[in-house]
Amino acid sequence: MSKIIGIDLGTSNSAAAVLEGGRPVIIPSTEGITLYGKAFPSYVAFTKSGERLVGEPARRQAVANPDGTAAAFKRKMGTDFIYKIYGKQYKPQELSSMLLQKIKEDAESYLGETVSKAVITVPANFNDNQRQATKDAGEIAGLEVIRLVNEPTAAALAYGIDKSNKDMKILVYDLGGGTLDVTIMEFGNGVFEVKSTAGITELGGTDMDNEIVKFLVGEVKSGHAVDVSRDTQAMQRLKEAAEKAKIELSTATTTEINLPFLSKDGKGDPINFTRQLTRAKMESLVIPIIEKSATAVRRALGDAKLEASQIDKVILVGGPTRMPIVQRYVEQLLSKKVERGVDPMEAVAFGAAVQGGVLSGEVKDIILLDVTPLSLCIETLGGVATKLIDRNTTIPIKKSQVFTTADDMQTSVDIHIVQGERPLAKDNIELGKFTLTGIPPARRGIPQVEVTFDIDSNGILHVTARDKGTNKSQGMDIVAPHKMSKDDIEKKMEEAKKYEEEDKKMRDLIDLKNTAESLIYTTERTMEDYKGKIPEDIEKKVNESKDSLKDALTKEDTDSIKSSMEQLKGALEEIGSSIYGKQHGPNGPEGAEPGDGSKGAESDGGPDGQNTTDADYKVEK
Amino acid sequence: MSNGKDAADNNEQSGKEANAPEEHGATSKNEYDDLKERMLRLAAEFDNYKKKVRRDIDDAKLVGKAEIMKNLLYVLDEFGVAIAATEKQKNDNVVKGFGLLYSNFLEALRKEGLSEVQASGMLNPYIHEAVMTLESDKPAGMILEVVKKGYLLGDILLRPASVIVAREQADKREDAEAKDE
Repeated sequence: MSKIIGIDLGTSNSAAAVLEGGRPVIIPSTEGITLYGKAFPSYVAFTKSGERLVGEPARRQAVANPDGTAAAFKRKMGTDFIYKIYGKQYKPQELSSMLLQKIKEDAESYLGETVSKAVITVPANFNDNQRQATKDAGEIAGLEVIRLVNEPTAAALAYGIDKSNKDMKILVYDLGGGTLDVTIMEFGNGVFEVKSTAGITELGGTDMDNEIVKFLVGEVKSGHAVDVSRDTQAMQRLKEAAEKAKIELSTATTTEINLPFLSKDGKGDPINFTRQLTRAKMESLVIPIIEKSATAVRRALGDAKLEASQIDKVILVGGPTRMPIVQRYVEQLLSKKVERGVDPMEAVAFGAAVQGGVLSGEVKDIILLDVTPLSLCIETLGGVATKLIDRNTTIPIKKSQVFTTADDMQTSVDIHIVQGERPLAKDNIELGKFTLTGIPPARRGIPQVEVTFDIDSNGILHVTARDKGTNKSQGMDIVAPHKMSKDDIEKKMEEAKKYEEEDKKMRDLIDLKNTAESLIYTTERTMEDYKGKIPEDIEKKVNESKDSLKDALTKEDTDSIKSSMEQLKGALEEIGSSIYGKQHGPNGPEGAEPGDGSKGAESDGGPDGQNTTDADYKVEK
Repeated sequence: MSNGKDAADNNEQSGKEANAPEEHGATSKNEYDDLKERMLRLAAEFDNYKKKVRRDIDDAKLVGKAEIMKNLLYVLDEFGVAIAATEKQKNDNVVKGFGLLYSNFLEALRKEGLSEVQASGMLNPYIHEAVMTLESDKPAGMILEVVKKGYLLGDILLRPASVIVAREQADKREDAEAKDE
């Protein structure tokens, strides 16, 4: 099943999208940065030497090569118009096919597979000839046009309107760079029906930009008595500044235009142009243009024999509709909130991609995968719940982790399985418990017990613990470990949030205690190993520090544990230097271990919590 | 896990439906083939996805950098025009100091991979944007003046150079028909 791409073949800009993992993404142009795509200008050009240029490069040379450049040929689709370029003749559909071919190539390089099918959008008022010409353009480009979709319908699809089961009347207000199209559709029984269309061919974002630039040129003139309209470089900078200001004023209410050394005045001194522009001022410049759209909206309503109040949904399409003033104006005109959430520049291409997904079966073919609603953990040293499988992990899933023992000569480990987000095992939901016995006696930290959690596709959790030394293993199955209602899960999550801070403190204390205990263990081992070789004064010092650490541990006082640990570390280092002159301080080699059989890990732990930092386990993969 | 159970129930039902004995074997064979096919496709898609993620991470780093660079280009432009505007006072120490500041700034950006688009010779629309044409004795399409410098980050075009190019002299102009409207 190859992908069906969706193409918005526009008069001034075109874009293509494809469903990825059920969501539409714009296909990036190969000559751009590859992470995200955007629309490209619908330009085709031929150089004198016969090279063909499509999109951005074609537009960039249009001024220098007007005879060799074609644009807006969509307006000639379905007519007998012939473009004559450097002695060759091209039908409008041939030029369109060059845009489509570029899209096909971009899509293939993006997806890494051959693309041969497409859904292409057309204006709602395209007649049969124009539609056929669009199909022909596809065929010439080597794309099978699976379906033509009306642009306003595609926009509605991007908003998922087809998924609602309600009948409704939709108005699509499509304001592009140079044209306005208003379409009224009726949706019912899964079908969109166009009731009326109306448009203005010479109205769009370009007009607005020009107004703002004109204003700025006037400001320069009144402030500095210089006319910059013939200064190409200054005009370039003003245009850029106008564009930037327009975008900034979509979110901010004022913006600062600073153009140092914009030009030179009569005496040859540099002009520094600075001007604060408010949204209100900018809007006052463009509102006369926007107001012109009212005629088209009224005409469309009139033709559909509808009152504004009968419209259920209003959808905006096209870059200029990102401006708050446009949105407000339309809302005022129709007394209805506009739909939000999809980039109006991308809505048509997105909708085409969604339609492509439906036709290729991709949309219904999505396998519903289940996830674990809460984390699955085992209890480790200090009563800590160590996560093996994080919440929201897609199942089936299998994960293993290697643990070790906490005590010397420990021959069994308790595997205590819990579910939840709190850092302490006792605050989570208990799922089961078993003991792995027969571990050969060894020092703590030596045995390797591999614990495996395996959730199969039916949601059954198989837990096994295996001693890697002897290959002895033990296990249990937990059926439907998290058969919980949504509310229960929510409750658990809330609880974890509520105790987050407290839990973190508790968890930190446990970590600290574990490290301290490990240090005491190391100290004792070191004392034993070097018995008789340690100078008496140092031995005394070490024993004292060790005792004070033990004391601090029983009191569970974080600060004194920390300071005692530092003291003990210092003392230990002295042993090292006294023996070798330079042995390193002992950093506890041990990790945590599953709640060990002898001690039981449910020993301590205060209240609750989440937000765990990983404990000090030894994890070997 | 409730879904898992539901799915199992559904299977049972569809199993019942397909229970016409002579068809049963064929149906399960079909179902097996179908599922196997889907599994393989999913595995392949996942493998490709993993590769794409790796690529995306590299790209994301680059894009992040490119976005920052793009915003800095305005400042760079202004530095450029400031230096040009103070050409006459170039022996002034303050102006000299600014010149050094500019070159240090540029150098820092170069280290991050920024480079200027070469804008001489003939127009190359992949890296240049023609903003105007002028009649000249130079061949048509030759770059006459750079209005705004273009920049690359590595081999990504951050911005094309805006240039003025030579126009064909009117008498030499071919009689090209009106093409677009």
